[in-house]
Amino acid sequence: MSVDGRVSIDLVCDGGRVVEAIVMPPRPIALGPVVRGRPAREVVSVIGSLFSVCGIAQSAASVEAAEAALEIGTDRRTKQARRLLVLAETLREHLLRIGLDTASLAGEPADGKILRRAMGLPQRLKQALFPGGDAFVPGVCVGMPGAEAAETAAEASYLTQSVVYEGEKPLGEMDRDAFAQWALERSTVAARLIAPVLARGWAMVGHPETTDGGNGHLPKEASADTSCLARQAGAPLVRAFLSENGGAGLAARLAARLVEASKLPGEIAGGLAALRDVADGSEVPMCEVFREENGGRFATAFAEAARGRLEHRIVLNDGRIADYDITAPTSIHFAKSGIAARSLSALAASRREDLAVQADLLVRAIDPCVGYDVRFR
Amino acid sequence: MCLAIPARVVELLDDDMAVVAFGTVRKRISLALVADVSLDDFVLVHVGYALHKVSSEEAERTLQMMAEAGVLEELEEISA
Repeated sequence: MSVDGRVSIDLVCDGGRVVEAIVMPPRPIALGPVVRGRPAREVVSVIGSLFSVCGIAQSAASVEAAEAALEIGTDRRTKQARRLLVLAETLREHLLRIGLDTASLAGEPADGKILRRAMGLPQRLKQALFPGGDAFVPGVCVGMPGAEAAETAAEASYLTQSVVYEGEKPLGEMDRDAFAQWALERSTVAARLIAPVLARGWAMVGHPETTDGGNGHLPKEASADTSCLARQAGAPLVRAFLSENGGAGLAARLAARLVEASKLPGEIAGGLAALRDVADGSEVPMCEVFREENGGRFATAFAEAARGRLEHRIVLNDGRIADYDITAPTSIHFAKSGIAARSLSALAASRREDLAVQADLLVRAIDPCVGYDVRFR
Repeated sequence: MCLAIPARVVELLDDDMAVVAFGTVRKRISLALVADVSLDDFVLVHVGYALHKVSSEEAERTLQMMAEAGVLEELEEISA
């Protein structure tokens, strides 16, 4: 049953090798006709409910595009506060994915208690920064962060240390040997995910250059990748798992998620401290606004969600929506010739059961929140 | 697009599991990520997990927009 925008994946196998990955992305949602003629403010207010898996990132991109198109100046502190909310949501998605993947690989129930605490992080920070709950109303201004915001940052740090990593040396600066040794110690949930992946020799599975898989003919430009791998590709640990031309297998993608998650609590805490240094009333330059001959205005804004870059494009006429379009990373990563198809077509294992587990891990490593169905042929 | 669909909890099961109703379609999901869910609560469901509780008003408003956007067509096809 497909009720949540699932990706359909068919893996055509020859023996233990995938020779072609046929990926059907979720059916796109035609948002424009639904919201056309409605006031921009009203539409911005429902975006987070409609696309609630990454509702904060969606709302942040939406309100920024709306503010630009409405030519409302954005308060600098508010923009920064919204960015921190997006970071908290990204951290939640990473912690959730790591917790669920570890449990799935071990065949055990996930630690619901700690994941439930992670689930609450973005909402808790939102309430701390925007006590009225109106973070994504065009023109709203955030107050000064108080004790509750600092406590949420501390909770983010505690959860990340429990689930991902706690250590003197930043995770992203490890080399492969140190990373493998850390995984063997199994001191965190994430270490218990990485240890079996490395022990089974799966570090490079799904690396598009390791085989001449059936999707090898696909054009490189169709393989855009805006996931956390792209954001963290500069970290030494992630680089250590990339090939010379930047190709990534399973370990590089998992390492990128861990590195990003391990850094986020520090970024949130640092961002909260920086909020206090922003002068009242200072505004950020608006996104570029384009004017049409009929008086319409359109603007585009972006947000970096856990799964990749979201783009919202709003067209306004007299303050009402004339058109609205969202480009989601899932539709790019899971395009017929996208990075998921290329990576899945490189899978090879002697047992079908292993292929299935590898496919699951790889799909979720590319996109932590996509629903999908894998079939083997 | 990754969506979470509002659904009503119609049965609470052991081990943090529940049965929810999307209209006339019923599905078994995990409540491991949400605390204090009761019968008849509305939850947002994604890939087999309840993510959050929502009010019945928000659930209704979201479902209406999803219906207008054609998101629920497959669900209606299944339940027909």
